[in-house]
Amino acid sequence: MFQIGVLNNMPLLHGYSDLVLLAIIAWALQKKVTTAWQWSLVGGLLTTFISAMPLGVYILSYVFVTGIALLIKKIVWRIPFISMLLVTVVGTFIVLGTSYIVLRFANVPLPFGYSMYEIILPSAILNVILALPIYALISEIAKWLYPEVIEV
Amino acid sequence: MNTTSRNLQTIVFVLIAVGLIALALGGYLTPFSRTLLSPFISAQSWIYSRYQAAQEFIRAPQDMARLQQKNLQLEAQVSQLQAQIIELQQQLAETNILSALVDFARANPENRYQAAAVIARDPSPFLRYVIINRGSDDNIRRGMPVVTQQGLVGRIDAVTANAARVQLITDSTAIVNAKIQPSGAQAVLKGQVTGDLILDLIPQGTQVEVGDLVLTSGLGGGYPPNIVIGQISGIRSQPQDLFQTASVQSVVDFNQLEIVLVIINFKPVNIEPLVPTPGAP
Repeated sequence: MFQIGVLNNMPLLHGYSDLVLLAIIAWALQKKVTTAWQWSLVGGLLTTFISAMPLGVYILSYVFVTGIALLIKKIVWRIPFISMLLVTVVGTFIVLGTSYIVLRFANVPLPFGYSMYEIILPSAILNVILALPIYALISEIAKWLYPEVIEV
Repeated sequence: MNTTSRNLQTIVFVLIAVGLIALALGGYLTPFSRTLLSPFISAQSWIYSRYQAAQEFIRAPQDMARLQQKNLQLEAQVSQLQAQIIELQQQLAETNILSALVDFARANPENRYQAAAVIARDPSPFLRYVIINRGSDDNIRRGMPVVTQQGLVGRIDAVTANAARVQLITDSTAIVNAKIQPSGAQAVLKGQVTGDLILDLIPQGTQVEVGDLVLTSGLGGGYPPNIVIGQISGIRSQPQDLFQTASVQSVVDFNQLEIVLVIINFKPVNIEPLVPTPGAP
């Protein structure tokens, strides 16, 4: 709701930040979280329900980005902030790139240069700016839901 | 003897006292009294000022606490009043918009309108859609045109019970059949991913000028005729091209959309079955 009600009124050039994507990535990168796939599906379904984008674009791209996040978590598990930034950039390109390709196949006139420099890159910058605060927030939620077990 | 001496002493004292009083009343003792009293006055002033300082020191915490409490109360009151001002300003802005919309509805009695508030925008930056807070429960159906008092906004693309999605005319896939005034030439208005509007398929021989008005033509059955779209802001005409194109400045500010009107008595006509397909007999 915050995404479509507030953030979509605050563009950088013509790009928007994607809070749902950031939350999915941050959730997937948490140590003890095992429900990343389910939440990526929920996020994809909700966004698909609201958006006029062809069915499946958000679901598929969010699930794909979740897979990348989980893979990165296995490889570079010691530096989650770097992983968050890396997956945010890659994820933004995947989600918006998929949207661009699907719309192009649907004969929507989208000039590549304009789409890249006015929409995709600004969106990636906005997402990178918001990535760390979102990661910190999601980490707190994860700690609250999955508290550390202290051995005595 | 003893008694006489005492009486004499008393008389002398009385006379001295009367003499001093008389001298004092006559002002002859002023310099003397000034010299004599000034150290006392200074000492008294010093003592009293110290007393006042001590009294203030004792009272200060109480006063400070009282002032702090009062300050907090006043700050809370100021915040409350500021919130009220903002709320009233919003209500005033909303009332102005609604008033303009009511005027527009009265000026166009042939249509029936349903007012709706814009509550969200499409999450995809490639698409230009908005969500409104009225749906099929309010007789809103797919394809109905959406306007403001200024002009055309778009049309209903999808409907739920309590909300609907509106495709703006600036969306890349939006197409509106339009006519240019005063020439009356027919053209097709197309949205762009940049949010601009392009008027295409203007016949080459048509006299079109910057500032000409662009209205819906009603052709195709998608929109009712004569709804204002905007003004021509630039023309591109090449002699070798079959058609001219023009850029259009919309009369609606799509970034500031708050309340819109859905024309609920307009039923869009689907002419797709009548459009000949290649290869059909």
